[in-house]
Amino acid sequence: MTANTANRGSQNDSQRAIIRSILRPVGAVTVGLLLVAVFIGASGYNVPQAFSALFIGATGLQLVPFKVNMFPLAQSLAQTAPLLFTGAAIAFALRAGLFNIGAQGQMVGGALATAVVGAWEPSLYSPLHIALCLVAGGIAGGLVGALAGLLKAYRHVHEVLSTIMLNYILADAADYLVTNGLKEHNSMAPQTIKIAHTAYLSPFVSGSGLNAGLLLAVAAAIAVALQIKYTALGFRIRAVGENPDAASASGINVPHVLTTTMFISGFLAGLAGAVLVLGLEHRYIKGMTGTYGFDGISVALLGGASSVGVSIAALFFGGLTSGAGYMSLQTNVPDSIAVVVQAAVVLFAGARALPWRRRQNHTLKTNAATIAGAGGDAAGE
Amino acid sequence: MSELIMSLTWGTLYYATPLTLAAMGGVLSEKAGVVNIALEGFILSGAFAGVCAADVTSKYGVIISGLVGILAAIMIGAVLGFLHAFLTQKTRMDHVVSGLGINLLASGATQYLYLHEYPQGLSVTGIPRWMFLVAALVLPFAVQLLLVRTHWGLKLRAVGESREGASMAGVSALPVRFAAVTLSGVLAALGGAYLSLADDHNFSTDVSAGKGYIALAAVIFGKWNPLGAAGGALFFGFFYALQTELQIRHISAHFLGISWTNSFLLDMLPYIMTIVALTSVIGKAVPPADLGKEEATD
Amino acid sequence: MTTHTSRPAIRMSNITRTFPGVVANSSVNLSVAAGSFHAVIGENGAGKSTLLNILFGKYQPDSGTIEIDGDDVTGKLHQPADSIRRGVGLVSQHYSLIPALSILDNLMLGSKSTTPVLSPRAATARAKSLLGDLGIAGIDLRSRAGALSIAAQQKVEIVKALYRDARILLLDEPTAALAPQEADALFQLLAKLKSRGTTIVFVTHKLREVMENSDTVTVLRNGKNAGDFITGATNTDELLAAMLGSRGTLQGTVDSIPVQSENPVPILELQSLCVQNARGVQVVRDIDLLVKRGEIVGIAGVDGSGQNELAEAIVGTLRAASGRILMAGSQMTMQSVAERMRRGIAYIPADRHRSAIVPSFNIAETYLLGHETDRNWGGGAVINWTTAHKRAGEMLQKYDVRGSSRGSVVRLGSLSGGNQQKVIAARALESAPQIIVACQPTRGLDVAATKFIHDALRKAAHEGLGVLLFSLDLDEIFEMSDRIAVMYNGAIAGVLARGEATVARVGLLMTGGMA
Repeated sequence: MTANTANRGSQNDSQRAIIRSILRPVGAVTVGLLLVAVFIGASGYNVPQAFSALFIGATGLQLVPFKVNMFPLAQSLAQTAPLLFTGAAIAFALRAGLFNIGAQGQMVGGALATAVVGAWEPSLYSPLHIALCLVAGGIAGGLVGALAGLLKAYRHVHEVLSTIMLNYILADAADYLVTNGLKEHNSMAPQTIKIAHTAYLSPFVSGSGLNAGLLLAVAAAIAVALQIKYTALGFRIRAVGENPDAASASGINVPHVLTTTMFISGFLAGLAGAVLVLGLEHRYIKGMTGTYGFDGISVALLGGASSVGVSIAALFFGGLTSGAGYMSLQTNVPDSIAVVVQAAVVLFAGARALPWRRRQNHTLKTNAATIAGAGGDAAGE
Repeated sequence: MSELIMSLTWGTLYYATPLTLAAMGGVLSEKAGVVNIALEGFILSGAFAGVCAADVTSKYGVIISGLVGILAAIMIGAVLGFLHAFLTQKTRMDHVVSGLGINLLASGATQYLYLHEYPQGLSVTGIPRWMFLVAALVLPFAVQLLLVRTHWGLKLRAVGESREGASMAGVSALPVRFAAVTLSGVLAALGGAYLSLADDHNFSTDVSAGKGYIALAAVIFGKWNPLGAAGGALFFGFFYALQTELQIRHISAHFLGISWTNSFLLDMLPYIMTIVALTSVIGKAVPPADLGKEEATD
Repeated sequence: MTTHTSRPAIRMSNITRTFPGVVANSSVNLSVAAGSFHAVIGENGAGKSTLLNILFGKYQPDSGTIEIDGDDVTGKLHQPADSIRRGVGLVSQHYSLIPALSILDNLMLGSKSTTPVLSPRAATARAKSLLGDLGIAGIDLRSRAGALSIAAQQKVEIVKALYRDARILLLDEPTAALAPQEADALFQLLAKLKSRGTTIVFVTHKLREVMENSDTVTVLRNGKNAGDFITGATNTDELLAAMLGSRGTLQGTVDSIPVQSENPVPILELQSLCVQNARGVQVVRDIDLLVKRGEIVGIAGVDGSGQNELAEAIVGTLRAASGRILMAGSQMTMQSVAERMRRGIAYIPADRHRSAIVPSFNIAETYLLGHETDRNWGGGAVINWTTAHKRAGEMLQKYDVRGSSRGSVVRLGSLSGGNQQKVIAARALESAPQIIVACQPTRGLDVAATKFIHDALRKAAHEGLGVLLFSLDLDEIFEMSDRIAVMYNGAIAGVLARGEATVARVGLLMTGGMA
C-alpha cells in the first residue's frame, strides 16, 4: 500500500466518520419520533394534535398564530441543565472506556450533600456559599463514582454492574436519611430542611426552573472538552480508554486513571444533583432527582464524543421531557412515551455508543487484514 | 422459631424463583458469549405481557387464561431475546448498550401501555406459584445437562469461548448465539410472568425492580455455572425473604442510633451483597473468553 | 517419491483475493496430487496463508475456481464447516483449539453425530485409537487444551482433523513455534499419514524442510505463482531464486558484527526471579541473568516458554512473585512501570497492536505516549502540542519513517507495519534509556525495516546501552546476540556465549535437553 493511498484513505474515512456522526443521531431521533407517532396513533390519540402539543411544550413556539412563550422554553432549558451534567459525566467516563451507568446514584449523593451544606447558615457571601454547595455536591457524587472506579481498577468488578447496584443503594440510603436523620422535624414529608437563601440560584424567567445552573453545565462541558484535549490526564484517559495494555506498557498507572476518571464523572453527575437542589427545590425531597442520571445515558449515546454533540443532545432531551409533560396535560397521552423515544435513540444511535472501543476493533481488524495480505503469513500474530 | 425457619425457607425459595429463571437465561446467553443486561427488560415485558394476555382471556376460565398468559410471556421474551441477539450479533452493537436500550424500551412501552390501557389497574387470577417453583428447581439441572451432555451445549460453550476457534472446528457462532439469547429472553420473561401472574396477580411498572440485574449478579456469583447461578439466586432470595420476615414480624434492632431493620436499609442488602459477591468472586472466576466481544465482519 | 494418481486432490485455478489496499492472491493456481506431500513456499507476504484459508473456507476468493477430489466446489466454501465436510483439515498457527475446553470436547466439537446427546465414551475410544495409531503418547484427553505445550497442541490439531475424517491436511507454518527436534517429530508423523494416503499441503518459508520432506513444490511471490517444481528435480538455489525473484539471495545483509563491550558494567540484574501469570501459575522460575553495558543478550526459546512474562516482569506490567530485579545495582523489584522507565528502561513490546499503539492516536500522540508529563517532549500538566509535533517531526526524519504525507498529524495506523514499528522503536530509543527490552522487534517486517531496527539496536549497544532481545526467530538471535540465554519451561536452560552457540546446542536447550 503506498503512502498516498493510505493517507487519502484515512482522510476519506474521517470525512465519512463526520457525516456518519451527524446522520446517525438525526436518524435515531427521527426513528424515535416515528415510533412515538405509531404508538400514540395506535392507541387512538390524535397524532398531529399530540405532536403539536409536544412541540409547543418543548420550544414555546406556537406556529399558527405565531407566538413565542418564554415559559415552556425556559422549562425546557431548565431540564437541559441536569441532563447536560449527567450526559457530560457519562460521555467523559466513556473516554476512558468506562460505562458509567451510575450517574443516577452519584446525582442522588450530590443532591443530598448539597442540601446538607446548603442548610448550613453561616451567613456567607452568597456566591461563596453556592460554590461551597457545588463543591460538596460534586465531591459527594465523585466519591460514589470513585467507589465504582476503585472496584473496577483493583477488584475487576465491571463498572456497569457495580454502578447499577450503587444506584439502588444510594436511592435507598437517601430515602432512609430523609425519613430519619436528615428529615425536617415538623414535617410529614420525606425531605430535608430548606437551604439558606444565600445558596439559592434564582430563576432567570420567574416561576421557571431556568437559572445559572444551565450556564454552569455548559461551562462544565467546555471544561471537560479542554481537559481531554490539552492535559496530560486527558491524554492518559484517551490512551486507557482505547488501549489499556498499551497505556500500561508505556508507564501509565491504569487503575489510577480509571479511579480518577470515575471520580470526575461522578463529580459532574453530583453537580446535576446540586443544581437541582440549589435552583429548584431548595432542599432534598425524596424522589426529586427523577431519572436524570439514567436519561444522561441516552444523552451521552446520542451526543457522542464531542461536548457540542452532548450539549445538543441534552437540549433535545430537555425539550422532549418538558414537551412530553405539556403534551400529557393537553392530550392525556402518558408522558412515559418520552422513554420510548429514549429507547429508540439508544438502540439506533447506540452503535455509535463507544466509538473508541469500536474504532480500536476496526483498526485491529484492518491491520489484521492488511497483515493477512501484505504482511502475509504472519496473519494473527 | 421453627415456624420462622419454615417461612424463611419458603420465602427464600419463592423469592429465588424468578431470579433462578432469569439467571438460567443469563447463563445460556453469557456462556454463548453475549452479555445480558437485558434480563431486566425481559422480566418486565414478560410480566406485563403475561398479565395482559391473562386479563384479555379471563373470560375463558382460569386454566386457559393462565396458559395464554404464559404463552404471551414466552413470545415477548423470544422476540426481545431475538432482538438482543440481532443487535449484538448483526449490527455489532455494544452488548451493554443493546441491553440498556431494550430495558428502556420495555420500561417505556409497558409504562405507556399500562397507564393507557389500565388506568384503574388490573387484577387476574393467575397461576399457582408452586408451578413456577417446580420449574425453577428443575431448570438448573436441565441447563447443566444441556451444556455438558449435548452437542448443542458443547457448541454453545465453544462459541462463548472463541468464536474463531469454533468456526475453525466447523461450528458457526451465529445460529447458536441467536438460539441461546432468544432462549434467555424466554426464560427471563417466564421469571417476569411469575412476578405478575403468580405472585402479585397484577402489574406495577416497577415490578422487576432490578431483579434482572441481580439475576445477572447471581450468574457471575455462580461462576457462569447453572447450579452455581441457582445457588446465587437462592442466596439473594434469602435476603429478600429475611427482609419480608423482619417487616411482617415487626422485628427491629437499633444500634448506634440507626434502625437496622428499617425497610430502606434492608432494601439495600441484596445490592450490597451483590457488590460484595462481585468483589470477592471475580478475579478467581474466569468468564467465557469471548464474552461481550464485538463481532468481526467476515 | 511415491507414484501419484493422475487425479488431483486439489485444483485451485486463477484464485484472486484482495484485502483493502492489498492484493493477497492474484490469479494463483495450485494443483496437488492425491496422496502427495506438497509444499507451498514463499516469503512473508507472498500470499501462502491466504491461499490455504481460501481452501479451508475461511476466506472467499474474489474470483477463480476450486476443485476438491475432482468436484467443482467453487462458491460452495462459505465457512470452514463446508471444507471440513469435504475432507479438508487445517492446522493453523492460531485460534484453533479452544483453550478452556478439554481436549475431548475440542475433538467432539462440531463432529458429525446422529444424536443430539454427546457420547464421550465412544469419542474417547475413537480418539485413543487415533492417538495410538499415530504413536502419540502422553496426552490426557480430559485436560484443558490450553494447558498443552504448543507442540502437543499441534499434534491434537492433527488428530482433530483426522477425527473429522480429513483426507487432505493443510498445515500453515507448523514449525514456526517448534524447536528443531519437535519439528523433526512432526515430519515423522506427517510421513506416517502420507503413507496411509493422506494428502498433505504444507506452507513454510524454510527451504530445508521442503527439500527433506516434500514431493512437489509451489512457489508464491507477491501473491502470484512463481513456479512449480518436483522436489527431486530441483535444488535450494533454484527455489530461492524463485522465491526472491530478481532480488537474488538474502545473503550479504549482515554488514556489522555485534561488538563486545570492552568495559562490561552490569546494568540489569535478575536474581532468582519468579513470576506468576493471571491464573496464579508460575510461568517464570528462578531466573538469574545479567545484562551489561554495550551488550546484546538474546533470549531464545520455543514460543510460550515464559519469555513474555519475563519481559513484562522486567518492565513492570507484571509483578514478580519473588526474587529481585536490580537496575545498575539498586533495587527495582517493586517499582511501577513509570518509575522503571524514569530509571532508564525502554520497552518495545512484542505485540505492537496490543501493547504499543492507541488506535486513534496520530504519530505525535503515539510518540508522546509515556512521556506526557515530560516537558522536553511537549508534555506537562498542560500539553504543548506545538512542541510535541515538532519533536515527532524530527523523529520522522531521523528514523526515516515514510508514508506520511502530512507529517505527524497522520494517524499511526495508516502507516505500514514497518514504519509503525520504527515509531515505536524511536519512542523507546529516544527516551535516553540505560537498557532496551526489545520483544520480537522485527516480527512481520520486511527486509529493509528489519535491517533498520537491527542497526538501531546495534548502535544503541555501541553507545553503551544494554539490550535484551527476545525473539522466536533463531536467525535473528544468532545474528544479533553477544550472548544467548535459552528459556525452557519458564527457566533459563543455559546461557551460551556467541562463540559457543550452535543451532544444535540452542535447539537442544529449547526442548529441555542438556547442551
